[in-house]
Amino acid sequence: MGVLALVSLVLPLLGGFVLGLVPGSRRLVGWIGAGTVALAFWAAVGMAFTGGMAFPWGSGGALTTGRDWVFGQWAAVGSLNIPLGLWIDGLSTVFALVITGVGLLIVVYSLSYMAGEKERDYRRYFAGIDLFIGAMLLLVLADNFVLLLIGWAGVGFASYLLIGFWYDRPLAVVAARKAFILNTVGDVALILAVADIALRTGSVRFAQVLGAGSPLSSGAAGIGILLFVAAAAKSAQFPLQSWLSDAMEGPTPVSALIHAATMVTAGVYLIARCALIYQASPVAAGIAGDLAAFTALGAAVAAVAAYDLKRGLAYSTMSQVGYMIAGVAFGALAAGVSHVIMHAFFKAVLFMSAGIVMHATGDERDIRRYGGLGKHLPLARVAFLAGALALAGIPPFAGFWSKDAVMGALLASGHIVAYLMLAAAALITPFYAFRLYYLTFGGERRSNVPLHTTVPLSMRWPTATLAVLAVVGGGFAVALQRSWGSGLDLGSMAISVVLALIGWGLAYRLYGKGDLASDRWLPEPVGAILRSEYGWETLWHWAVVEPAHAIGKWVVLGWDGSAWPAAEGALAGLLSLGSQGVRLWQSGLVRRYALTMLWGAALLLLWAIIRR
Amino acid sequence: MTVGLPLYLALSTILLVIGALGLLLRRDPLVMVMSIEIMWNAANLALVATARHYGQMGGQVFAFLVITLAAADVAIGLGLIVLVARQRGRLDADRLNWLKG
Amino acid sequence: MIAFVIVGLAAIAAAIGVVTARNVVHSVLWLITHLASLAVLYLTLQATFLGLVQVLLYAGAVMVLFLFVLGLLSTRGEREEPGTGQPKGQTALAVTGAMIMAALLMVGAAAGEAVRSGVLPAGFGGASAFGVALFGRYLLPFESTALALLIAVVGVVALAHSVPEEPSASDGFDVSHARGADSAVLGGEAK
Repeated sequence: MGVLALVSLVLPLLGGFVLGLVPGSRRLVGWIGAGTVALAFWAAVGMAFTGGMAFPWGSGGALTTGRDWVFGQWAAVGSLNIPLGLWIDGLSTVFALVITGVGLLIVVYSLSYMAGEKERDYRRYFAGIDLFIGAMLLLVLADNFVLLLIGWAGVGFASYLLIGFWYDRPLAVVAARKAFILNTVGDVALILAVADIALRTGSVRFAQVLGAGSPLSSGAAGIGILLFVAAAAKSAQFPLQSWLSDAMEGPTPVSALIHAATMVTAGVYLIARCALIYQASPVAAGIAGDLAAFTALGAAVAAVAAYDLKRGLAYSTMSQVGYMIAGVAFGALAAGVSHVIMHAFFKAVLFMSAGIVMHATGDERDIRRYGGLGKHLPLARVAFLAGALALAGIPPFAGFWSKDAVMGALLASGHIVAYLMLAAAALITPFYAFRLYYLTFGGERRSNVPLHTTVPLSMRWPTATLAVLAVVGGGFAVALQRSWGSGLDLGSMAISVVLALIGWGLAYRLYGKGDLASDRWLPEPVGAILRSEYGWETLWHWAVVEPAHAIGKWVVLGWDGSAWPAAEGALAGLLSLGSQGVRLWQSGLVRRYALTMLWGAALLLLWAIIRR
Repeated sequence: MTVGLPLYLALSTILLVIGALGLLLRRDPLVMVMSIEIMWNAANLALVATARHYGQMGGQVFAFLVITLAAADVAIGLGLIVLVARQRGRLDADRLNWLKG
Repeated sequence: MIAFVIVGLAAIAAAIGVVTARNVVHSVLWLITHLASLAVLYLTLQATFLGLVQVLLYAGAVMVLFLFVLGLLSTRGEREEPGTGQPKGQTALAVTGAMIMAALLMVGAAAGEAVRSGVLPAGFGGASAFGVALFGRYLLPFESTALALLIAVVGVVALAHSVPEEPSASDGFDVSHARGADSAVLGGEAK
């Protein structure tokens, strides 16, 4: 089992390095890129079948069923021991399956989607994707916090490479830089958290830090909050969310894989992995869960006004990740983790449909110039519909089973504030999902750019596969929740279904004809504010960017320009005066120098004797 | 009777002071270098006596290293003296005051 | 005890001889006496190997170097007679400082334990014990010394090469020229 996990981890990394360093034809690049991920997927399936699916947590959120498979020693600093090892339990197996499974479909999809790139860029793209999948697997399979940190930073780096894939587009470069900087905030928080953990417990290994009888079980709010900051940066949660919508500048398969299905769920993984800490500290759990629920609501509202199809989906991702984090932070572990899987299915299919649409319309992302595409792109339409139904939480589609489980668990455990925010988001979610659907596929075409309606085979079948999963994948969620021992709550289910149907009904009533003019119900200033993410960007600009700029300006002009030369002049004058005095000592007579040394030595000796 | 550590240290002190006075009061660079040698040896005597006192080889090893460094010191010192003598003809420490500030 | 007194007095006398001798050659001879008496003192302290090194390296090699340089210099000009004038206050300051130094060191010496502790390990001070200590526990100081010696060698080579042979160096050396050269090296910083 450990060997399978290691194979699964090493193959994509190896593929990434080979692709990054060795030139090859498109065919070869495709085989390596997809082949390593496919093998990794089968290794992960092997992990699941050799007993890696058990419920990971015991009482108080301690890790109980995991297996620590150590294959080497990395570093030993004093009493701190950092092994090279993998931690295999239900949580890491589920994540490994999602990463490699959805990853495989998206890599295959990319084979055609990226075919228009130059051979060099084609290779660079797959190197980045393989590197990302390897780093993500390292993140979820590591058996200690330091290895996890390497994977954590690795996915941030791979994400940077892929957002900025089109490095000749200034927007993409800025977006990549922004994502990297905000992710670094999270990296720093995670490093601090790990340092704190190491200081408190003398170990960084999950088995000791998060296992039963851990020293952390008596509450560590500070660590929990730091871990949430890290998770918020990686998972685009308030207040570190703003990079995700810009990250849509990357290629669409990248958005599907990294910024919808996997990387943004790293924060969910981290919080689920550290469930012990959040169950020991209600304060940290409250901060994490309530902020995540707040993000879920706020992002859902922002998605209502989006004109950019991919941005709309990005807000939706923030919102759905908010559900997951609220769930795992408040102890609804099975529900939160199953929502990760469901979300990977339906959000990936939404992005893939969006990719097909963009492919057909010549990289157009503005829904104001879509309209009436359903006739020409039936596959994209059906797939998007399946994804939207799953996202909306209409039974029996995938999202319903997990989203409702999260909300039901929150209601049952009495986290009313978070529940209300999530319920409001659940009302809005179907509305924005179907708004995007109707405005894209329904009505009349609003642009006369010619369409390329042929969809390559390798884009068609991954989309179809995921669409099927978005329809019936709920079975996985139910099976996982049953085997992990959390039941269904009929009362909450009824509420959720009603909310979802109301949201859908409203969307149908307003946008059912696919008419852009229907947007008039929303006053323009409000729409503009929502499209600017509540002016959050402007706030950051004035709160962080401008002060930093002012400080920089002051340093350059004020300090370097005038204050520093004046200080230099004063210093030089002082030195000159001092040297005039010191010159008297410099008689040039060797014997005088020797005399000084003698007296100096005598004084030192005197000092030593007195001190004694 | 055996001679204790204090006597050796006292002898070492006397030699050191003689060397220091030679260094400070003579103007012939050669004699100054020799005075420095006396000071080196005074220190060595203290090291060796302490080594004997505590039964540790460390003092002797360092005395050996001091001898080595003293040899290097002599090599450079004499080299400088030869050079100065070639340039100036006279050897007087007080005339070698080009470094006056 | 008797050996210590005799040899110790000899060492002191020889040191005084080095410092006070008018003739430098006499100084060198006194220094040889001094170093030899120290070698004997080392022997009384069971430092047999070190005593041998002292004779070979110091009284041998280093003194040959002194005499060689002396031979090289004696043909060139005359040396300043010592004692003909001191910088202001040099004598008083030097004597006072030296006395203070001596007093302080004596305080330290008197604080030392008079009685030797324990029995010496077998072979103490012999070449074998010395080698084990030098290349074992004290390997790092040894290597550092090697480095210092390397620097000294480089320094000597540089000294020997930096100034070309001056044919008329005996008397009429132009001091201003030397100063000018120094200034040029310093990049015109000197005033």
